[in-house]
Amino acid sequence: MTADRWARINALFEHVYEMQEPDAEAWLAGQCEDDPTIVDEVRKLLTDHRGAGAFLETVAAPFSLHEVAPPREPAAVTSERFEIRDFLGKGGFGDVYSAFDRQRNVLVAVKHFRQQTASSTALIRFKEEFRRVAKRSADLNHRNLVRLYELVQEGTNWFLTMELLSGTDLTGALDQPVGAERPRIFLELTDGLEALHSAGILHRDIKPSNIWVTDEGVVKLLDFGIAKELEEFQRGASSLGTPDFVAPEQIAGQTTSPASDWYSVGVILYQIFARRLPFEGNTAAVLAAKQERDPPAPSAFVKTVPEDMEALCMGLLRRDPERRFGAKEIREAFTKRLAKPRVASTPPGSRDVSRDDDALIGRAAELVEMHSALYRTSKGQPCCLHVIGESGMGKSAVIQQFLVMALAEDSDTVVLRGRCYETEVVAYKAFDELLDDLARFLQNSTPEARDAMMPRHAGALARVFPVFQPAKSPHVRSGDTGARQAVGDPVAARREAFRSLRELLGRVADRHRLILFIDDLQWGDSDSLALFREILSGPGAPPLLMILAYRSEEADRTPLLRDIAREEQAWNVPVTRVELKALTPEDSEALARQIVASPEKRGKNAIARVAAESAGNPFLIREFASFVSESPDAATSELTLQAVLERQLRTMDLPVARALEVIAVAGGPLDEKIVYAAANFGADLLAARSAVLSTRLARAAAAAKAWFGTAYDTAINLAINPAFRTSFNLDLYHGRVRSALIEHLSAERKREIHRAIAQALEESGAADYERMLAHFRGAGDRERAAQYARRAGDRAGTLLAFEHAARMYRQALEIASEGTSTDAAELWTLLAGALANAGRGAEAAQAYFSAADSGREDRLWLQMRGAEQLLISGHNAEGLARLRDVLPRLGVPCPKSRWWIELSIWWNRRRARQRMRHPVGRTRSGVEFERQMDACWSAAMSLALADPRRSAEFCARHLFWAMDSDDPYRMSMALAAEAVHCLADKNASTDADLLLAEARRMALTAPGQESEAFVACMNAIAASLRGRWRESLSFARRVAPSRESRPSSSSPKPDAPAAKHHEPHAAGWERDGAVIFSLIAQTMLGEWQAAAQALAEVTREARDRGNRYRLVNFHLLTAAFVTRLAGDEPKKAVEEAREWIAMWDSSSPDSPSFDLQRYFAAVWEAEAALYEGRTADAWTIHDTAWKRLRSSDLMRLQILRIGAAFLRGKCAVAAAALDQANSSRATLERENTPLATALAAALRACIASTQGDPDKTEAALANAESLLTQAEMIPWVAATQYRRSGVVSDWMQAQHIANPVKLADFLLPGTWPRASASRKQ
Amino acid sequence: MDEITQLLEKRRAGDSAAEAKLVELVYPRLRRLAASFIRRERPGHTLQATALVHEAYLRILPENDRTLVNRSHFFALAARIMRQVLVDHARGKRAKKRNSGLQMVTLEEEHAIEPARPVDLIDLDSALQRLSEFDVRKTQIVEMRYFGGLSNEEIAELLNISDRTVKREWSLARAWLAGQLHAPNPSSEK
Repeated sequence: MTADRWARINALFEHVYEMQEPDAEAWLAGQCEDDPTIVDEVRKLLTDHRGAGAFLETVAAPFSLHEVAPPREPAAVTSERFEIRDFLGKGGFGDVYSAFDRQRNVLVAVKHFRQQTASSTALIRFKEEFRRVAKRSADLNHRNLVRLYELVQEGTNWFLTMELLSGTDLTGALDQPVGAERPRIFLELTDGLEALHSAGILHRDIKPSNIWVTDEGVVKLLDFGIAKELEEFQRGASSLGTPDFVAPEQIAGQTTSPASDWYSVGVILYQIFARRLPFEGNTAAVLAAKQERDPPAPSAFVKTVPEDMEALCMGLLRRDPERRFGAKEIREAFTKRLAKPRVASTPPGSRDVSRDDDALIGRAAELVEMHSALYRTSKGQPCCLHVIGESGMGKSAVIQQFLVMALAEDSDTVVLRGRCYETEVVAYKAFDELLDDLARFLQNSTPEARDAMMPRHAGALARVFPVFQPAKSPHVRSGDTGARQAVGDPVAARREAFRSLRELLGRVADRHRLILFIDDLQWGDSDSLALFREILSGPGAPPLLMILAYRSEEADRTPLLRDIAREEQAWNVPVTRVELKALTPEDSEALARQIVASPEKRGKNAIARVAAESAGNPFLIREFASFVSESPDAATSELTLQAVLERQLRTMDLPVARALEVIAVAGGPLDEKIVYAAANFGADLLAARSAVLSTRLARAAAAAKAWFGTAYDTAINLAINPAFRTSFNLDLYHGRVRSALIEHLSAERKREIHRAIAQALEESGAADYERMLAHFRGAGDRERAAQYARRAGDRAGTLLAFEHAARMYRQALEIASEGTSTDAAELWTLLAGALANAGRGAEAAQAYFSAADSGREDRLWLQMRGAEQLLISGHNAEGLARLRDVLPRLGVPCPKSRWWIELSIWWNRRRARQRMRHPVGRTRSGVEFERQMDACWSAAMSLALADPRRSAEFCARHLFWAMDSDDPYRMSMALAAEAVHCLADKNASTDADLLLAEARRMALTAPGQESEAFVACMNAIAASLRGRWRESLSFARRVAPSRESRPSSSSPKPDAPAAKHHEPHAAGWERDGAVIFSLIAQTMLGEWQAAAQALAEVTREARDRGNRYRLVNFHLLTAAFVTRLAGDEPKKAVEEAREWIAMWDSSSPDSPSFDLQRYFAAVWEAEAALYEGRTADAWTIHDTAWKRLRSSDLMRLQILRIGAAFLRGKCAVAAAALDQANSSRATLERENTPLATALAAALRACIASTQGDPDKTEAALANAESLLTQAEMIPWVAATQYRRSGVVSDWMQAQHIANPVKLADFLLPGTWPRASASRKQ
Repeated sequence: MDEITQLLEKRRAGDSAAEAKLVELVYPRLRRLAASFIRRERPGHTLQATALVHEAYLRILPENDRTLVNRSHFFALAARIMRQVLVDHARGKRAKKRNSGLQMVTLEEEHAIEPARPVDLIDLDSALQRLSEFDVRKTQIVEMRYFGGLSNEEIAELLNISDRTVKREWSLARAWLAGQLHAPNPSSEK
């Protein structure tokens, strides 16, 4: 179009565009006779002008998110729990709304229906049935099935809640041009349906409107399982399905099977291709036709139907269900469509491009799976993608392609990468590079965005991950309280740092699509596990995609991978596993053909040979193919990697070959300057670089490590300004190249190269101790290697990477044992500290003992520490033996027999009370005495749960000594601990309150807040021991958070032999006690959900520290069991209890062969038997345990006596042994505490019910209900209410009790007339 | 004076480098703004470019520099950038569809039933590109009205022409674009 022509058109248009059509036509007729095409064009413009309608009149709406608002209808229903929002549609039996669930604080979809005719008993039955089926459906946590949550009743209103979905159903999708996604739709539909079938559920109503496609493109099946049954229940009839989609056998009333559902899928497919239904007409005719004949082939209606799709349709629509196609055929057909290889041509001579490009050959199905994982993260939860394959299978290349696609699809994607290296020894190896990337990303963000993303405690983050240190990257806001972590519990600091990292990632993920990619995880370190756990687990985990790539052959060998496999399920993250297998021979040839230059000339033979020799391994295919195309005599030479590489090395310049060897020996990327120095290159950096890179065996890897100080700044600068690229790291292209190169080096030559690297590193002034350690060691220089190991360990300790620190010290010791001048004793102590902090109590103990053995003067104290570590890690027998050995030598007597223990308790208590009544002030002091007291206190604390009586003995002795020392700090703690021990002892329980009051008073005068917190803990425990649950909980809550910051509680005034940061965090007995007793209190108060949550939190921490003692006690002594019963999972509860007790080591040489933990393990077995209705078993199990309990001194614990008597009574009632039950009741009444009396009343009601006296039963229940209410035993109150009225109480509903009937039978056994259940209605 | 205001003035003086620099500065902000709009918006609502551009004006231009002249120029600029943002987004969406199916099979080309089509932003963008080759002003008018949500009056003031001219040129441009977009083969232009 020329400007002139356009101007003429404009002029004409201007004249006529507002005229009526005839007038305009008349005027135009006489215009532009020289060029009639102009007038034609104006005519066309006029037509378009008139016909344009609203074209472009509405201003562009950015991104039509949900163009059509769902039709709004005033919500005809109101609810207490749900805030009903939008009407979404009409379901088969009720309306569907989006709603806000006030209880769970989430948006859900609710199906609402009104209870109509069904009787209430039928409804209760239905609810039970619902729970059964809902459980089955709820287990179906499949991404292609809609999640069903809960059935909620409010009066006559019933709500079924489920996952709220965006998107539309397939009816819409079928009409819209989104066909490219259709293979995926069918593949996902197949996945979902198959998952349903394997859960034993048939859908029975597959049709387009029951298949949902979310905005993210995820397919979800609707209306299955309980949703369907609910509908049928409401209708009072079973449903047939939709005539058009139903299978012939369904109509005929024959047995339906998964094949019936696949038939319906066939109808949908048919509809797409034939653009009509297989049978049309009125319902009767369609149903009849289905039985009688096969449908016409889709190509009868639409000529262009692809053959494979036609075959699939017809196969799915076979009348004989036995012969009908199913999931397998659908998958085959569509995967084949997805994987049709593209015809790609490789740009000549550019091997790098082709590397990426042909990564796709034979990998299409895997890429689809990877994309599915990515879409899951858009649902707001993290997702873990494992990409597994043997070395050389092209994992990195396929992921690279995937990332490129992800970026192309949404440019707002942030990809952070990292890689682990085999010989690298940095801390948090798996995350090291990735965090460099993260720091770079932050650096490149705008200051506002960066501030918004930084976590609250950026300082804590920087302490553990130096990349984030403010001096190096100025983005940490000033005024942050980072310094506050400088002292304090290192484990807590590490946790804080991890939390901050999670927070940071969460904030990045809120703003961008976030993908984390860690390559070669088989070389990852165990320290990193805790980071994975922190990032991926628990509610509110950042919605990111975590890609983990590793070699399949190493998966079972690497501790980190084994740990991840074991824990992953508990993190509750969806996991996708993509395994890259060997390429098929056809794909191998296709790939070889892409790489071999002018394959025609080389001949078919060469291609076939490359394909055959490489056994489907893409890396080898590439290497061999380029070799074949570059070497003239390739046809005759040997095709192994070794041979191919050796030939290449032979043709290289010496320094270049040596540089490659240096990189190989370095075991990971190495600063190029070091490489050139070690390889004796000349001064010309650029020449060296281009020579090395041109071999195409080495590549420039990610920039320098954070440890390199200045190198980090370089990394930042590199990212910002490419012109600043002065130096980068070099690595080999592939691990296989590395191993082949190393294999070809002689031992002598390897040593030489190690020395060259080590010296180059030392000269460069880099602080990479780990590397220098490795290379000096490799070079045989033990002295210097040990020196650097020690330094690396010290640094790891300050960075709180304790596993790593321990590894470094171990290495130092190992080298030292080969004969160096290093001080082994000190190294052992350092190692012990690191191990203790890493939560490896048993190993820490051994290290302490080794340190003691190497003759240090604080030998005894080191042994004490070792014993303490053994005890707090649950190694009771050995720990006790050690204690008994070392304590006397520290001047603390250690009674030999039980009898002596009791006598000593009595005597010391007497002495101590004497002193309290007649204070004499300070009578003893001195370092020696302090030590004695510390040891005594440490023994008391670490034995608290393993051997309570012995602990009481040490406690009483310590109290007496504390009185002598007249130190309020020590005295307040001693008094409080003494009070608890006294409460446990029926002969001394009377003055507990007095002791506690005195302890509180003294704690106020003691410096610091530690003693106050300790005393509060003891108060909480004391309240629990007396059944005052609320009081206990309120005391416990006062303590919990502040405890962590104190280094050690087992020695009130720690005099650490090791460096400050290695101070092990010992028992923290009082804190553990507070946790245990507050969990018990919560259980009694019926706060089961909250208790389960709290338990999960402390479990996580105990796992972080590897603390077996806590894990076992928290679970066995507290709420874990009942919360399992709330979920109706007695089997699981017992399994777990057995697991915990198996962890517990209690075979003590003297007496307590039967301890608290063993008793509780038996209790849970008995309770589970009771729950499951195995009454005889319950009685036998508990009776055996009870007899042992009676003969142990645990019977001094009143709370335990009460619990045991009640359980014994329950078992007796359940087994109908009424005399036995009555005797237990009498025992309870004799205990005469509010708790015991209430439980006795409950037992009386149970007995009465079994005797079959309704009036007496009702009276007893009423009495029990009021007494239990006073005793704050909420679950039992609920059970009595259920017994009396048959109504599931609010408490049961609020705590999501899965099976109220069973739970009531368990809490209050007896012979309860079922008829009484509906008495009240 | 704020960098953006300075650049706006240079641009007004005909400095084309200033224009490029402005786009570079404003594009990411506008894009982020659009994204945050979407996140805030409840499903079922649509977001008007007008609101977005006004908000961008308030957020990007410092208060002191918000003169009438700057306002018009900023809006003209924002309209241009909105065009880029929206078209890029449409491309991204298309790429997403392509990637998620790997574009190896396209069933829809053979089998989909064609529904009434909304404006295809990518086609519109290339048609505008062609239009700008021989009529820059009409291209600007379309940009300002359709992408920037400016009224005829605002456009008139900005381009220093009469309201009537705006209306007429808009009608012609729109008719031409409609013909381009609905033609069986949009590249059949002579």
